[in-house]
Amino acid sequence: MDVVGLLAVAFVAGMLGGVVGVGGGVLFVPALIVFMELGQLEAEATSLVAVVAVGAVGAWRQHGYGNFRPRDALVLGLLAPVGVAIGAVAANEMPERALELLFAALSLYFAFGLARRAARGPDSPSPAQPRR
Amino acid sequence: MIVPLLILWLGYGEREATGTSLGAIVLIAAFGVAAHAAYGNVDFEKGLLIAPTAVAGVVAGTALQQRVSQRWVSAVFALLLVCSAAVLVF
Repeated sequence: MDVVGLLAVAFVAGMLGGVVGVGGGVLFVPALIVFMELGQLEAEATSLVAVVAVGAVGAWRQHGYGNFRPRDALVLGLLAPVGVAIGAVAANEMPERALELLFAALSLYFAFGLARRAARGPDSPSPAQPRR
Repeated sequence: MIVPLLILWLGYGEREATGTSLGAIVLIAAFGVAAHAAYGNVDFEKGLLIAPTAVAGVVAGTALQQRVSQRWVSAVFALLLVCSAAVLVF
């Protein structure tokens, strides 16, 4: 039963990943904690195994649909860990609550931008933009 | 944060942003797996248990995404961000 629940959440997480371009960890982690009784740290570490698979197959599918820029993905993938490292150092200098509120504000700022974009009107059906 | 950044700051379309984000995530998560594995925190058996089903999900999700308007993708992402902000605040 626990495995069924875990796999059901895994499918939904993968699907969410495909639709909005995230790895699915936001759902894998709680599912691993609830259904497999992993600790927070082990669940986060273990979820990354599935995130690698979801990212690889998702990017490959999007490449087939003409929606993947490999060079930009490479640059982002290499720069992001540097940003995370800098962020980790900064985070140690800040109270945890301030960090949470800062991230919440950043999330709402992006949410507002995306919502405004979504409300703006119908887009062209396909992004027929020139490749770089 | 990669997807909104690509859309709002770099002028990507939603589909391109999500596709490129997935590619970047492979590298980021692979670094993460390597680092956590060094400390023995990765349960590969359970990771590999969920991977095939999650991969089936992403194939379905990317296919679904081609059939909906790009605005819809932005709207779903905005909703996710609001939820995550709420979790952070409360």
